[in-house]
Amino acid sequence: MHEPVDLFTTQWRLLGGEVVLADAAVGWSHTIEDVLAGVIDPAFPTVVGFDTGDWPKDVPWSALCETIGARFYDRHDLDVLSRQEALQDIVAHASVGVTGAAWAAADTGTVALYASAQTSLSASLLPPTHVVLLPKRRIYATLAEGLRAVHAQGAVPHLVKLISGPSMTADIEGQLVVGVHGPRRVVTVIGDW
Amino acid sequence: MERLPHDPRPWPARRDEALHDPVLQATLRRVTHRLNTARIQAYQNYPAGAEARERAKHRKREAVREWEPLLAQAEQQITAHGGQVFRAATPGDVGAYIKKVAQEHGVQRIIKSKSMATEEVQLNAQLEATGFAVRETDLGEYIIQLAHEKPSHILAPAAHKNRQQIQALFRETVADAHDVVSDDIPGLTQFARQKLRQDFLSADMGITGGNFLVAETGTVVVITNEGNADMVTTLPRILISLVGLEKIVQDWDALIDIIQQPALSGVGQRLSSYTTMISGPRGPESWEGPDEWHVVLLDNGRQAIHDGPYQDVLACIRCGACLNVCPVFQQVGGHGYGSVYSGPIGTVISPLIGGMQTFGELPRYLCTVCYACQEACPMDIPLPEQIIGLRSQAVAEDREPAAVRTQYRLWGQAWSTVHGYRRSVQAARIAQRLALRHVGLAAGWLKTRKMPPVAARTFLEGWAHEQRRRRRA
Repeated sequence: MHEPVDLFTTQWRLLGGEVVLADAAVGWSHTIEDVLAGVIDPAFPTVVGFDTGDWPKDVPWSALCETIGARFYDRHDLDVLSRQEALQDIVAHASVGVTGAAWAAADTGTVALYASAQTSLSASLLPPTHVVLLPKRRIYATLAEGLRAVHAQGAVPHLVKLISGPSMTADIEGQLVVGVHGPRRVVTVIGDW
Repeated sequence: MERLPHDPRPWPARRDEALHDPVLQATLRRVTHRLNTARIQAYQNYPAGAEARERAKHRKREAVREWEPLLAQAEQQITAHGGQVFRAATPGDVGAYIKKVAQEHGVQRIIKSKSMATEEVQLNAQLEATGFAVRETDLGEYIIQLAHEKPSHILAPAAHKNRQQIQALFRETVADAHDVVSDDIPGLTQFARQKLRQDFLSADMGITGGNFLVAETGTVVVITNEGNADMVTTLPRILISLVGLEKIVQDWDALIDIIQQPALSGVGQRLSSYTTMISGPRGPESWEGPDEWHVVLLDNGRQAIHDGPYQDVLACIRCGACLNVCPVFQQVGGHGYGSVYSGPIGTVISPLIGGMQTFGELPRYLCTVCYACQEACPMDIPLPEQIIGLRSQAVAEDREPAAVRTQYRLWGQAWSTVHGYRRSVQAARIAQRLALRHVGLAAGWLKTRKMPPVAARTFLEGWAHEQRRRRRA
């Protein structure tokens, strides 16, 4: 029993997000492959991913994406392009963006991302599906605890983004619609890696 | 340039237009009811949110009270992180500064996330007059920008339009010949997503508002549900954040207490879908964020409010809760107020920013003094008392015509005694029989209202009659 995980799962789902609890016995690669296969759009067979150093080790991303008919781009692949090219030509046409998370908060169902040399916020924003790989130990019970951690390191990162569920609007007749500008689907894969 | 734009039509014209618009009436009822219910439930199910509100309320008042050193600290922090700060006294100053930055960087296309402050200073009009293309990216703001209208609700700017009207609008304004514009709401949203995506990717400059400005760290916090502010802060190379002086909070702890309140009170969520915190432009090693970040601190009358008797109103976090509970807002919507700031909060700040001459009619006519806003306000701003204060001032400065004053005086005298009141009931009964609905004080009143008939015998008359009958028996 790990309480923050349960509460996070409940809140994240309440907001319209999806949770996959990864089991070490099945293998992280298997679980990730299943998740990607479920969300990839064959018309846009591109996955962009930015490892912040907290992803499960030894996942063969390129080979894994190939088996589901997709091409995988990481930070290294995009560095050869200009920022504008990378965004317009690759990230904007990917159907899945994969990121890690600086932390998550259970009581609000929130995932926090910091912009840094490794992390791309655009991978969490432009593709229609955002997959978050979230180590269990990064889940705080409350948003307040998570926010304190942002400041605890001294300087606040120049760009911090808190995501609480998919992009949504109720601007037309008050009816809730998911996926306005950001992703329609947000899938959090939680594991003990 | 005026301090706050206003609709020049007189209040009765704005009022009657709203009351006779069935789409507006239906949408307002649905939207305000949904948001009210959600707000009440959100706090009930989340005691931590209610506790944070108590702390946030006190700290926000403190921050407003002593804002000068805090603003200086924020300015110093932003500058230390590589950002630039400009203090704008007037709407014209805001426009001139942003135009200068845009010209220096050869900017052509500008994207914006939703910001009431930019509506206040008519930023789009100022920039477009100089030839810049400005695109609103919040779905509701996009719709009203295409329609050349003003927002009708702080949180739901296009609350007065239904799907058929929006479908027609998209067809007329942005759809290409080969575009199919759906008539259902998800389809319309997808259409806007595709159109705006092109704008996001090609923009050179982004403009956001700011929900909070943290003095300790120089952080600007922007809250949205759609994710458009994330696009605006992440993609373009130049970023401008227009922030009212009153957005200041002391430190990170104060931010933690207040950060959930706009969502809890506004839409009944614990946190909006996207919260973006900007503390500086992107460093050399970072991939995203702007190359340059400018924070424009907006005064436009705020310092004068700060130094006067209505300082508490600056604690407002623009959640919109007071609009949703207001019986006047529920009937006439945002456009009825003729100001970008509507509802009870707009009734207070519109005359304070834009002047009593133009906006005095708001506190005078658009409040029933029911106190619902006082109960709903998460910052406990005494809105009804402030409205009464402004009402007295408005009446003292610009009195009603003598004939109207005489009628009110006689009415007041008549109703100040029991007998006078009872005689007025008898008089009303006679007037009703003679169908005198269209003369005197009541004539305009009854154009858009139903007058319940005076009972053939009122309760008090019936009671007196019954007493007499029993005494006889």
